[in-house]
Amino acid sequence: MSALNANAPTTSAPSAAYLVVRSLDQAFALPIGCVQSIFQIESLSRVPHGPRHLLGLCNLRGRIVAVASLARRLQPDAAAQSPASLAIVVESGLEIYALAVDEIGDVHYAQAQDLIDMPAHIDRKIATIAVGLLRRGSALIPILDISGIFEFRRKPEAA
Amino acid sequence: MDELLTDFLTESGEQLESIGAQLVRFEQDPSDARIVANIFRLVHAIKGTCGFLNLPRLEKVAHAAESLVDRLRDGAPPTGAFVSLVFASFDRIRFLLTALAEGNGEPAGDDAALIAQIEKIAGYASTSEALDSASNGGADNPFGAGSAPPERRIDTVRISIKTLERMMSLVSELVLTRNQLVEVARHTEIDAINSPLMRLSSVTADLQSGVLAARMQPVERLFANLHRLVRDLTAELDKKAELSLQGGGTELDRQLIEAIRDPLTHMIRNAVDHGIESPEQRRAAGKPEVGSIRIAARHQAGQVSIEVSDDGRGLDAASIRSRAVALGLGKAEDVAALADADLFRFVFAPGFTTATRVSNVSGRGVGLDIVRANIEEIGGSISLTSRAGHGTALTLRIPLTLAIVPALIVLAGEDRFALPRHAVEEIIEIDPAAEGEFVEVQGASLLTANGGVLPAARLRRLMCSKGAPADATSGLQLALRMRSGMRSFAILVDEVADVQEIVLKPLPEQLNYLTLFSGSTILGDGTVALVLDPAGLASALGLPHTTGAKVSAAPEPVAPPNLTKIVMFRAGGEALKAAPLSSVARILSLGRGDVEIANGAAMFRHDGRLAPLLRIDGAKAVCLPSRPQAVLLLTDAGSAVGLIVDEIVDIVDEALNIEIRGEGDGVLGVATIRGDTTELIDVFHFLDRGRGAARSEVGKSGRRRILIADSAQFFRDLIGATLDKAGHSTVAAASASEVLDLLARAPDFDAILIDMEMACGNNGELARQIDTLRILPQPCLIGLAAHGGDTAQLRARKAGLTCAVGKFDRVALARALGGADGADVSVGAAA
Repeated sequence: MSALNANAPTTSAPSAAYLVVRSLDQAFALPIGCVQSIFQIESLSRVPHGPRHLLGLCNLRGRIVAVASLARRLQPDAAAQSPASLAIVVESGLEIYALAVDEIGDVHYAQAQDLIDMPAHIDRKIATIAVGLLRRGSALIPILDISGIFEFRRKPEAA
Repeated sequence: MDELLTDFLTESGEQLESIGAQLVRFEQDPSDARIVANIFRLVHAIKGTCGFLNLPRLEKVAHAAESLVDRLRDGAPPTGAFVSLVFASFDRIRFLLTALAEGNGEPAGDDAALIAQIEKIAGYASTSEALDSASNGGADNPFGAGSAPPERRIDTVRISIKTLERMMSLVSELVLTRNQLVEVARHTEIDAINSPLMRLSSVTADLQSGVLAARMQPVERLFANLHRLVRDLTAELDKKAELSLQGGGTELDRQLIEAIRDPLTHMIRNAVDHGIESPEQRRAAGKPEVGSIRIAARHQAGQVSIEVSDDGRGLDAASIRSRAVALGLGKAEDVAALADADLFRFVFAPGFTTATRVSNVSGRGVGLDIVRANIEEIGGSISLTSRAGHGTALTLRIPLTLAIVPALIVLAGEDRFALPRHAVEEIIEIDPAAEGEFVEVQGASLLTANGGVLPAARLRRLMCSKGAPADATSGLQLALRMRSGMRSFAILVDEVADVQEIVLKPLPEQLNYLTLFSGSTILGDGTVALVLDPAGLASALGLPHTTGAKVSAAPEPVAPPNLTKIVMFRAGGEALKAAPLSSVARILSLGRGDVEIANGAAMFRHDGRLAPLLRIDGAKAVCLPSRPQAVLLLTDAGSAVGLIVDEIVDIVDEALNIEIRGEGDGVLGVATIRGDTTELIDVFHFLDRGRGAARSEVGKSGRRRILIADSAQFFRDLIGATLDKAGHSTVAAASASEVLDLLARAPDFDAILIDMEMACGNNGELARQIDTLRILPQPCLIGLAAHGGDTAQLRARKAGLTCAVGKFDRVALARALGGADGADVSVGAAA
């Protein structure tokens, strides 16, 4: 990796790893540091009057975890993921949550120069759940803001 | 041994142990300020407790040691002699503590020599007693007995609360896992796992009770300060009372012990202040001068009950009645009809006090409502019994623990929820075939059960559950009666699937705003279920959970001011009919057995009195109903009639605009409600018919010109129609400025009826302005209130109005308009 590469500037910023996931045919990046594990959603209990992107609560090895859908967060009327879809367990503050995505990709290591501040004119829906962009080849991938996604008190549309 | 002393010894013993290591470091580096501070804190604590426990010898030594360490704290140089004196005094303290632990009190002997040495080196001024003991001492060797204190094994271990909590949560996990395994075993045929599973199950149960037991503490801990409390209170109030305690050994989860400490203190205060009479009064009543207050704790059906009783004067039903009416908790006639046991519930209403004076002790009206709230918060309940002249008893029922609670697993469509069993007061079976038991209309449902009517809701609807609806005709349905604060209500569920011990887990923090749920849990099959919160359910039903009970069983209108809750029904023909819900006391279902024929007319019993049944045409029904009959119970100033209806169509929140004034008897007018043309019935017409009287005309004192000011169109129309019929002429105004405008143009009104909100807004600005218009002869200003209770009267007078009448209280209105007759009981009740 680049830290061992004599050509790479090791002092300015260490490389960071991101897990790339896909939802609604878009790619998103999750800082690997907040990803705990990945599991297959088995049974979900609906939360009446909860926000639309909260798919429900599930039992993750004895812990009760709220599962949110990334697709629904972006688009409230998106179809819920199929029951057997994968979810990523992430830490946000002191709690853990699970994020259901359509597809889990690979881990991408990024250099400091690959990280781009959020442009001001980006789609507002993305702006509320992303903290910046990650350059990967020619593509720019939004880096997800975990606490923004698991903000259940506000309606996603109003966010 | 005294429990306080035991605690003190264990605690100090351990602190001495821990300080031992620090003393060694202190020896190596006597200038370390942190260690010095620690040591100081310890001796200081010991000294403080000694005074409390009456241990003079230990106190003196600790005092000396404290002064010594204090010098170090102040920066005195820690010379060798200084340090060894610190050690010597600690040895002495340890020796004394050990001797105390033998259980024979403080050993004989004194420590004058040690203290004198300390004095010399620390240079502090000793107390005279210390000097005294120095003079008669001599045999004392400061390093003798204390230098090698006999080791005493302590058979208890102190565990931090954190460790205990951690153990508890692990046991909770174990219980859940066990439940899941049991569920799995139920569906498999493998016998081999049954026996180990049973073993696991029983070990888990034992472990659970073991850990629970570790968290248990005797309620005695709560009792420790109560004697003192009673002594202080009686002294302050010039009363005599004795406190007796029973069942101090009853154990309760430590979390709960702390939770009931304040409520218990409050109950004692109440007992001394309100319950126990003065010695003279007691003598006069033939009771012993010294009152008795008894606290009894015991285990009862998986709960702990704590009863606080006194042999004082008991509750004064009459003053509770008048307070309840004054606070607007119910109408005077309803309150008067209440049995004492029901009446006493009012003392738990917020702000309720019958004390005429505010004492230091109690009577500020902040009290039993808080007690109740605190107790309900921990899943407990409080009840009260009282006999005038014989005393009052308050009983707390508290669950043994909060961590693991038995819960009903209820189904609503495809969803499952857990409901703590203690929240459910009763499970009522509803036969869908029996008409009228459960009247469900859009969002507002009522359940008739055991002679009362409860606000009710389907859980399926509250939770927007999907899934095949339980067929209404397929057998019995279940309603769970619950209570939140003082309001009872019922929740209809599709099924009660199971009773399980659940471990309450908090909701993810982001979901705390969902008040319907108090937490979540994992069920036996491993799925997650939300735990329903009774208070949240009550507020979802629109019941305020903090205010006191209303006597009327009908739900109060909770709609915004201009919306009125309206019962829509059909009776005698296809035309939709409507009545304001506030004038309907109840919706009843009367069967053949409920109705009797008396004096040629069908009558039914309401509140112990006979009330006639009327048909919609105003005629009295003369025969028994062949099948259960929906009946609107209309009440007014103590009289009641039942209006037979064919069906209840709906209960809606609507702004009522009467479009066409009614011509026929019993119809106020025609309004469009939700697109349907609806006849609004004249409730008073039926009440008059029920009384057997011809319509009592208001116009005795002649035709009057009356201004009606109310922001709600509905009330302007309702009252206008009533007065028009009585032969008065009315003009309506919707706002204060309109009133002033009208008065400026034509001031010759005999009476002005003003909505209380309008009249009292801006500190009675409107009434003042009317006053400044100097209209002669002065019109009679009457406030229109929701109820004509004492509070309303008081408010009306403050705002400069003549009196207040209830908006639906036509009789009172007639009296108020009747001028001289106006000084009648029902209007002038506050006088």
